[in-house]
Amino acid sequence: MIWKDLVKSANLGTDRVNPDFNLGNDNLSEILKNLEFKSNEDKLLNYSSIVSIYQDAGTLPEILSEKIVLEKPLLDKRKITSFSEQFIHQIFEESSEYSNYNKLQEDFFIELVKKNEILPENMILKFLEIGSKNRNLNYYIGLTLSKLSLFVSIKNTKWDYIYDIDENLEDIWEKSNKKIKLNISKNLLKTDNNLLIKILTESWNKLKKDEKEDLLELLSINENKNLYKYVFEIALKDKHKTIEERAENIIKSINKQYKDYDNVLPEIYILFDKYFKIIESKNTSSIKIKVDIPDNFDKKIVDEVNNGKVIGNNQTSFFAELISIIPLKYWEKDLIVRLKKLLMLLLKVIFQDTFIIFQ
Amino acid sequence: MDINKNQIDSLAPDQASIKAGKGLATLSKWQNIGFSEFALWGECQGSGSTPYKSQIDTRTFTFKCSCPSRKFPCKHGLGLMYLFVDNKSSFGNNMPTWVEEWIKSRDDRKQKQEEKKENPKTIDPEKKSKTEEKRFESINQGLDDLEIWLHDFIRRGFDSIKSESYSFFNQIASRMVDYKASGLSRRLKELSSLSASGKEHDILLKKISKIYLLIKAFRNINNLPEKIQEDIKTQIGLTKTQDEILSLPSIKDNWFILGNLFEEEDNLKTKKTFLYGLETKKIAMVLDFSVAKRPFSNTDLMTGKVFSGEIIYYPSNLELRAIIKSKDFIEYKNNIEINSTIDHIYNLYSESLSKNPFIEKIPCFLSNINIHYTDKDEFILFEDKNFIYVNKSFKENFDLILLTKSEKFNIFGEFNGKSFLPVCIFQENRFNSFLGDSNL
Repeated sequence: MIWKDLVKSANLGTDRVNPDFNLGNDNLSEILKNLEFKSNEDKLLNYSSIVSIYQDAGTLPEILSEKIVLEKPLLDKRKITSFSEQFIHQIFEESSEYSNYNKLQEDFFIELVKKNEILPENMILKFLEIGSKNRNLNYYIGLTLSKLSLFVSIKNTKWDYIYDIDENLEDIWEKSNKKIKLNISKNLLKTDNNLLIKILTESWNKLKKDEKEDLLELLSINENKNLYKYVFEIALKDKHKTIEERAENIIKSINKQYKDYDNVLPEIYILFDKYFKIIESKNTSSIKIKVDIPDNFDKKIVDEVNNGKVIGNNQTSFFAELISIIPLKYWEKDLIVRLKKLLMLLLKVIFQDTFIIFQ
Repeated sequence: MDINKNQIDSLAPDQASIKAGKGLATLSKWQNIGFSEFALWGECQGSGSTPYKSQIDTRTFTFKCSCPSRKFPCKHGLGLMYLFVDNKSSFGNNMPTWVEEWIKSRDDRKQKQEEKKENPKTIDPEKKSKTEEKRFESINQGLDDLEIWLHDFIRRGFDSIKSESYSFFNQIASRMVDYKASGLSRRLKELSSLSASGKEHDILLKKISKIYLLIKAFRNINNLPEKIQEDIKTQIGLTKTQDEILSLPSIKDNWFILGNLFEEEDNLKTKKTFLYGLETKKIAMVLDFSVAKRPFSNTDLMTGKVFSGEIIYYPSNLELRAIIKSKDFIEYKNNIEINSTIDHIYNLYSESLSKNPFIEKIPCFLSNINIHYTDKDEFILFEDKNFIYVNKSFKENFDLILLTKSEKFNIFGEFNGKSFLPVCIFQENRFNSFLGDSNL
């Protein structure tokens, strides 16, 4: 208990609270009672030193008594049905009448991916060989490998084509359903983010709304700066409100340390009003923005906001970081809607790693 | 040369190099390949007109290549080794002049280094004492400055950080560098990564109180036992030179190389290599540093290998860091016998902290455990009723599950009082090590 009291006193500061603690009769308390101090601060820090080491070294962590629920260990939850397994033997047997009929094999694999089934592990070697020779099939084989098989393939140079990007991938994407698209995206997240962005950018307008939603959901758990740039540039401009909201949520999750934007928001508004003047034009399609930025802009902002806790990397612009953490709906709520366009521009500039708008 | 592909993997700077190296492991890409008792060489056609000359001193696994890559070893060096493992019979044995000259220059340098090890520089005690005195004076001034700063911070309270600039901790950290107390500076810098929201204030107090304890301990250093004095000096930033360590007694054993952990701060990359003495049952940690992407120097410490040799521990109340005085690699086919429970490592952690309260993590073994994942998406090492969390910085959980196939295994790693960061596992006759970051 004394540790909680110590943390509480340290939070408030000895200017506001007197560090008096109720000590018991245990060994730890006896040690603490015998310490001498020069000041309240000395007392609090000395107590903390001893209590924290006692906690680490003298007692077993509470964690050992915690109850947890174990998931079944290992491997892939996906399975292959007995029908598929029979069929698979049939169409891949060399003597089979289907053995050279690649289109059928391809269709079969697409079905497996759709049904979320996996290839039987005892035939993995055979399929990895088939995939390495047959460009049309190898991508599907990658998607239908069990986790164990995937592991085997990554460890073997002959079969790590599973992680290579097939030239036909964009064609496969075009004719895939949502499930396959998600699987392809998952694989590309591991292997080639840039290709994923390229494919998403080119096909975005052709995607269905539910496909977009699920793809954004998938991206939101991947913390990759390039993907955020894509989200800013493409998804935020989407015609569907729900898509736009999901994109905003991704922005919000850019960095968890920025949780406190609510506290700094009012200051940012004041600053923004001070440095940016929106001049409405008669022609409604254009907006003039008067930017009045002092030479020592970043420093000045830092001083004025006087709230440095949200700063992560001092190499990037302070202001840029602040803007990037604030979801659009906050801006819309208090500022004119057109400011959103300016913000879009700012965000775009931020994610090009420069801050040229203020030059 | 006795090496397998897993060991070559452990020499690579990253996964991309392993893949690129394996891609070059076909005979068609190489010419004039050859090997001798202690060298491996070949010429690989790159994008330029002349092929890259790649050569490896196989006694120490030191690489040299004429390609412009800044990675070390480069993909050509790794590719040449992968190629050798599968195609030894295709390698000739006529050593070209460029390899001969390089090996000779290395031998000359090695001889000089060995002479230096045998006859460590004599240290002028008077000069040393004067330098030390000056440094102590500077550190003491720094400690006064830091104490005032800490008192002021505690007076105002942690909540006051919200109104401080982001450089709040970094400023005082920089001042400690000026006072030659780099260890304190590192601890202060770490504070800036904590959230100011209040959720991590107990960690902040814990870390600050350790710094305060260090200040008090240093002021009282002359009244403490000699080995604890050394630990306090190390924590403050006063480390011994290699020559000073070489003059201390050594321990001879057959040392099993358990694995590596990497840490990176600013421009400095640190490689921690863990050794296990098969006779003495002692664990040792050898540090190797790389500044600005320069190669590490201990390139021959490959995981799973065993050398017979002497190591010297840095003086400490809790011996761990060591340097290698001599090594001669030997054949060793058995696995390590381990018997250690979760209760045991908690006790070991307590004992270690009581010997050196400033340590943050300890290397240790765990035997007969399984890995599981929980309903909270966390990985745990499970032993009957007890369990321990796998450190979140460990990214190979999935590999671990697949490797062990849900059967019990033995593991070595670092424990920080809360979670365990795996370095390598042992299962029957299998040994696997992981390439991890150690930011606990």
